[in-house]
Amino acid sequence: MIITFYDQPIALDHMARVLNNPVTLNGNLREGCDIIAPEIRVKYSAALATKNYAYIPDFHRYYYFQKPPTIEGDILVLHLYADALYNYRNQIYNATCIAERSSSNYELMLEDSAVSAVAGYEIFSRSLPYEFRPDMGRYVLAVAGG
Amino acid sequence: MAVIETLTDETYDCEIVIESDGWSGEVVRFQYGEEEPQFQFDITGDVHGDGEYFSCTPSDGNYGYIRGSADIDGCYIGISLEHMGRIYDTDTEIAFSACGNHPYWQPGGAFGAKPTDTKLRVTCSEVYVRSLDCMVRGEPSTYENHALGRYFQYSNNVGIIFWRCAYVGSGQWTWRATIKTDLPIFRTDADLLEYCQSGGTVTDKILNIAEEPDPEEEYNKQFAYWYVKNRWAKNTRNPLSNMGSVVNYRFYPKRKGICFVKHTPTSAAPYDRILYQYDGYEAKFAEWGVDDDDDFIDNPGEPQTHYITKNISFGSNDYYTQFGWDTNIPLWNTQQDADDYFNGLKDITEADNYAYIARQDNTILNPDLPGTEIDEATAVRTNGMRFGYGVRLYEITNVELSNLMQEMYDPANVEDVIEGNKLVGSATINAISSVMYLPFPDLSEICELGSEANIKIGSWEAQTAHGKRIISNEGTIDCGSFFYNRVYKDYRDYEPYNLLFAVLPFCGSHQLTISKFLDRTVSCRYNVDVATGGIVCSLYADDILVDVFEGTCGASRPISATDNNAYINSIMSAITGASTQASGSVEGISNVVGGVGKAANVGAAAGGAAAFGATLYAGAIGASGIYTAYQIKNAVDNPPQIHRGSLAGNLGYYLNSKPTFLFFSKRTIRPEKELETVGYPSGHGGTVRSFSGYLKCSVINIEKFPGTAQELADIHNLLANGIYLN
Repeated sequence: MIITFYDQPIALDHMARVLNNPVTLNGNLREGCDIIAPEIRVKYSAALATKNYAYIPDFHRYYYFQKPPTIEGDILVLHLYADALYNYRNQIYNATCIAERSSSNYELMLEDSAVSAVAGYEIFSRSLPYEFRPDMGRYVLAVAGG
Repeated sequence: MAVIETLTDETYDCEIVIESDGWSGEVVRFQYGEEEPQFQFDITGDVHGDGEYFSCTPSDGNYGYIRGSADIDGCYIGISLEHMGRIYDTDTEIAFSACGNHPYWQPGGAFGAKPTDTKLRVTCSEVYVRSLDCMVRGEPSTYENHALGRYFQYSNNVGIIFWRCAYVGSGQWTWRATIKTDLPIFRTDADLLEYCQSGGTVTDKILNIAEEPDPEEEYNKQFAYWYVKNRWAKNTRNPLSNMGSVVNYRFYPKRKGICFVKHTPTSAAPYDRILYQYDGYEAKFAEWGVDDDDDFIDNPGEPQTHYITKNISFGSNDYYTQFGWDTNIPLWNTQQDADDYFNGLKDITEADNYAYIARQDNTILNPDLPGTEIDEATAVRTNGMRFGYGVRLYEITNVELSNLMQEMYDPANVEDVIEGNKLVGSATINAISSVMYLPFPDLSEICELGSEANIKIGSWEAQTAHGKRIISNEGTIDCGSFFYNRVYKDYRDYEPYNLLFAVLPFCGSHQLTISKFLDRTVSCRYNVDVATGGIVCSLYADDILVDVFEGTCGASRPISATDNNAYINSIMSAITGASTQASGSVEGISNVVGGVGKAANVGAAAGGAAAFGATLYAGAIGASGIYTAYQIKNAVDNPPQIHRGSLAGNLGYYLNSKPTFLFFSKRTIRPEKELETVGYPSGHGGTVRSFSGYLKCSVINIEKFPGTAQELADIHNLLANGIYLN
């Protein structure tokens, strides 16, 4: 079985992956292995200890390191987890969805819970130019007659 | 120096123009224009310095030249940068780090000796700004970690422009951009100098000084935020001027998910173009930078930002650049549709993205709503009622009223008065129906007046008392108008983030529904019934009548003991909350409710009056004149004290005399970079591919999934928590 390890600098909540500095190992599985969360034991190598991403062609999956490798003697234990976001990127891109929040298709008239409002109100006023003049008024005298 | 603190924080469209003839020189300028923004520069902050010219000589490796004004203390008004280089703005100074510092630019380096006469000019050809704290926003932010430098990062770095320019050789091309700044912007250098020479006091040439925005301009600003993707379009509103090599503004749907601006090469010089958000097209794109072999690095991988190097083409000799900016340009599914639109055969409402465009403008009405859109001004009716024989109305002054009473009660006239009033009963005074005081120096504002005449009571005609006869009630007071601008241009423009109140003399204070008035011209008109003193205030939005409030502005003036008793009773009953008043009051002072208004003691007319005084919080003091902490808090958090009607007697005269609108506005905090980080609320549906940037889903449906249940659950969880598409 072939495993290729990479330095992958992109955060896992991003769709893109950049696979740098590949290191390939060829060997056989000696014990049972979970395809989604395999634990791979390999001979210790300083180069592998710093990797954070892997591809196992036999499983058709890319994996990220779920936690840092552990060392058992001269064995390096790699805790991998299938990177569903990357492995099924085409299915995800083609999936239909309803967006709760989005950077591209958004609605400004929806209330945004990320926006805070401070207490109180700022107050502004605007008066129209017309002014009543009770100080300069006139009387209306209504009388019977003609 | 006069510090201008009223500058708007608005975005101005401009163009970034690059002119280049190879290494011999480049000029970058921000050009003011009315184009849609496609590149956003935030220019904020200030440029510090002592107000003198200074320049950095090439010998120290820094190239910069700032032209400022010595007339302004502590800051530069105009700024000109020459020489190629990166630009920073620190807290205290501007530093320039030339590209020449980079090893690539050293003799023998990858690019040979640094150019000696290339230029970056940040002064605008038509707009001058005084600050260089530039922040490039938009797609270029993704290039920050390339080995050649961080020329495209979010930073105070405008090197992006001429960095590319330096590569491309001859030609000129343009990005339109926006400048967002709270610093003065001028259209010409002369304007700038005038401002400088005046010591900052002549501000009329500042483009972005606070003033009431033109409604149409505001309207147009709401456009231009929709992605052009995979559609045909013709930019009929804003041709891409100065984009010399562009011969066609259509967005070419070469492949799904990509759109390009088509170019025709003008020379053998290569063109580098940026591809954004490439998603799946199996073309060969070079990685960042220039490949020595001018070949494309095969990168069929996942969406990333790439560049098309100089020889790439798509089936012809034409060149393309992706055009992935937000736009309100109508998009069409076929070229024929686009041509038809351009030729006037199709309406914009048939465009593929019309719903987006219209929603930006908030012009789409729900077609299922009952009724039709109100789009006609409310007709102003006339009043045909006329006064004549039987009961006559006179406009008289205080002096004339006294003259009349004196003449009527003069013993020498008693017999004549009685004789002249036989028809109206035993008491002559009964012939006087009312004496009403109205707060207008000239009643012709509210009614039609005749000529001066002797006053007649019954058949008796006074010889010394004169008055103008009131012929009809025809007359409307136009109090003026203003345009009610949006502040946030989003949901915060409405309640409860903004509250709108109208304090209307004689008609009380009322909270108004913002939707009726927002983005419209608000006007206020009064009509008065001269016979009763009743008054009605009409509020219009774009000349459409939307609210009416009534009250009374006339105060009966007692002229007999009977009248006086009735007058006093009317006021007292109004103050104590009793019902109707002889003067026609709608509700009494006790209806001052809510918040600080409650502080005004019942019975303390002055306190009640203060609730409508010139300042809002005057009413909070109440009769005692003392604020309590609770009252202050209420005054802020529960702003409106609402009086629902007019006041009894002449008490309304003590209140405000101008129609006044009060705007209560919540100050809100939108997190910086919220859009990029967590997006805005959406509710839109579609394929994940149709979104970009941050995406958080409430629902996702993957129809065909070859993985395991655990992996599907992982995907659901990831999308429910939010991911970043590229």
